Amino acid sequence: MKISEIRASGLLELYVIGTLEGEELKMIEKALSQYPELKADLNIIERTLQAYAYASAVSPSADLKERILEEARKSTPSSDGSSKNNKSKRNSNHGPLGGLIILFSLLSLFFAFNWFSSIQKMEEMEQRHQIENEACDSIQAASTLQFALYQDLTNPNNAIIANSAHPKYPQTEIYFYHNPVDKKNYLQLNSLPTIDDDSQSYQLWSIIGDNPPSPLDVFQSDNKILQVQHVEGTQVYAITIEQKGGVQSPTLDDLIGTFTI
Amino acid sequence: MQAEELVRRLKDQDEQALAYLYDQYAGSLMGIIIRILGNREAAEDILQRTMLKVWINIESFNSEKSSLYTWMATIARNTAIDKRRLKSFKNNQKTEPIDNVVYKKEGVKISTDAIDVEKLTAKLEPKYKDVIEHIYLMGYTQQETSEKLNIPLGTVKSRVRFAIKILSEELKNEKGLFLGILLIALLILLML
Repeated sequence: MKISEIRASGLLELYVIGTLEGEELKMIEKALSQYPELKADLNIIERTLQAYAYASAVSPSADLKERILEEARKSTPSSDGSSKNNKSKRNSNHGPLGGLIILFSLLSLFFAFNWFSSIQKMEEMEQRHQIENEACDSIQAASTLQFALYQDLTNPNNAIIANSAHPKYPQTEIYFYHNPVDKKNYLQLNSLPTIDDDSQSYQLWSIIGDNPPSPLDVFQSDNKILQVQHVEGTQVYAITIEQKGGVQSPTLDDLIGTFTI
Repeated sequence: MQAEELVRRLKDQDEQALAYLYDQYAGSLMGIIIRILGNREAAEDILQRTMLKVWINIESFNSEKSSLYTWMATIARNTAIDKRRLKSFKNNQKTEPIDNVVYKKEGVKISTDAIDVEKLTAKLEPKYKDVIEHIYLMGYTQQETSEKLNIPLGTVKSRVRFAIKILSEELKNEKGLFLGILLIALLILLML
């Protein structure tokens, strides 16, 4: 920006007032270092605004001056109503050795405080680090399990078998993931008949030939995907509703569905 | 007292320098603060804080960047604006009509070469006076001024510039007139 453009922009005035910000502020600061002659413009603006402020002056209360001076005395580091010169005299009464002792004591206190603070902070950081590590480990473990489950369910060797629902429970919807190569079975439980969780469970059975059904997994309805036992040679897997905890022989009246391999 | 000497003595924590600073600038700073807050009691509290900030932070004042007065006015304005933004201030605010809280300072010694301040502002057209009052005395941002006065942002900038230009020229005329009268008086004295 040319100097004439800066002068015409009104930004110098806003710079003095103190309302410039962002890009405009950066531009004026750069221009002021680039064109030292703008300093004269700033002086004129400052004097003009000062005169304008005088024109708009308002009298404070008569006692405000004394209150301010009193506060100033309190806020002065060594102040008790005396001036800086007096302060140096007072300090000299202690002598150089006294000053050194006070300084040494203050420094010792400062370093001791810092040392304790550092130890405390370090302990806190270690604790936090440990907690975060544990959280990380559990997340990683859960993630590994999820990934393994995903791999099992998408395994190309899987046969996915829909259940043949028993007429008593026609709304039942279950998929059986059967992998004869890896010898793994999963149940995907989409819709099950309602049971009394306090007294009943679902139970999986393995049926081979004319042999009596072999009892397998017992489960409640809260697991949507569930790994279940694999029994070599099983021709039909069946699910029944049984008493809580499972039984050794199935209650065929409460047969939910079957999966023919 | 020259500005350099005043700053040096303030840096030495000379209480008399603070008293002098108050006598010179408290009224004009109060004029800014009271227009921002619209409340005399709160304005005096902020004026006190401003003076104490100046007293405590005088070491950070850089005369290369601005004059002492500009630095103080910026502190006063920012402190007052911070106060105005406080929720507690807004809730307890009992805004008085500006004429009730703002009245002309009596018996003020103007250090800027006996300028007739009434004349200085009387020459400003209302459209310029409005903008400079909002921006400089009432602590409005450019955007807020634009919205309040319903004028484009660019017009705010140009009106601030023209307002200060007009004030500056008026200031020169006042000084010229003062020097002229002084010269004539001296000539008359010499002739006698």
